[in-house]
Amino acid sequence: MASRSFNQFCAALEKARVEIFAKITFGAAGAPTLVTAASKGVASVTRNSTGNYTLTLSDQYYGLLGFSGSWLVTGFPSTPNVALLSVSLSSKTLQFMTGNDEGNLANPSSGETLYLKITLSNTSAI
Amino acid sequence: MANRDYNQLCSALKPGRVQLFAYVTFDGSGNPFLDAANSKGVESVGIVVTDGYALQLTLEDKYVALLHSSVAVANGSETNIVYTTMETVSVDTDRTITFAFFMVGDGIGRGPPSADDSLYISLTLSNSNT
Repeated sequence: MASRSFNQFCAALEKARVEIFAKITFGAAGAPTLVTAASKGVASVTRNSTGNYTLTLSDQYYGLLGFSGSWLVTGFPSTPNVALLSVSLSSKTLQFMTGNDEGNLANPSSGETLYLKITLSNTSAI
Repeated sequence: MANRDYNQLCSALKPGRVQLFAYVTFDGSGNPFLDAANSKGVESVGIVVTDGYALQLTLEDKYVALLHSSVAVANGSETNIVYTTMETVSVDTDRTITFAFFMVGDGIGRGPPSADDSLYISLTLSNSNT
């Protein structure tokens, strides 16, 4: 693997940033499978309804700073849009949607893979 | 430049995180150009055509896994790019990632970025098997 001299610090004004990554593959009818080896800090992902999913973190955090998804697909993704529906850090859950290019909730197609990056704050200090 | 008291640490459960950034511009034919000064760790850019136009980034090094990518499109007026996806990821063997671009138009079709488009690409990689 890469044997380079990397810069190890990354500055920010927010304190105690934590980055969590998740890799989710989808099967028939939008059934999600969490790739656990690539999703440390994520307890589970479940499908609630069409294009509606709940990601549960392993731990509780003080704040959500960012949420970003990117698709690995062949051709046009069934659901290019990924957005948060609700956030409940007390229950460690992030509810998110997948949507098609017409703005409707839709299931990802079988074989599509979603990479998520979740940036959190682990302190109440300002 | 900014003169602030920054927090320099950023925690994660995944060890060996590496962030790479790339800045890519295009000519009128979709040929990409890598701004090497702002793309440390990225060796080259090129075009691959399988199902359609795709931009291929070749990294200078191999990594264990890709954790995340994001592509921000900049355009002096208005870009036609509405979606960007990853089509292939092979950071542990070929050192490559390919991106496909989908344009607004008569429906949403696949095509190359225009000469007015430039891309700010951010990659988060894992450099550890732990």
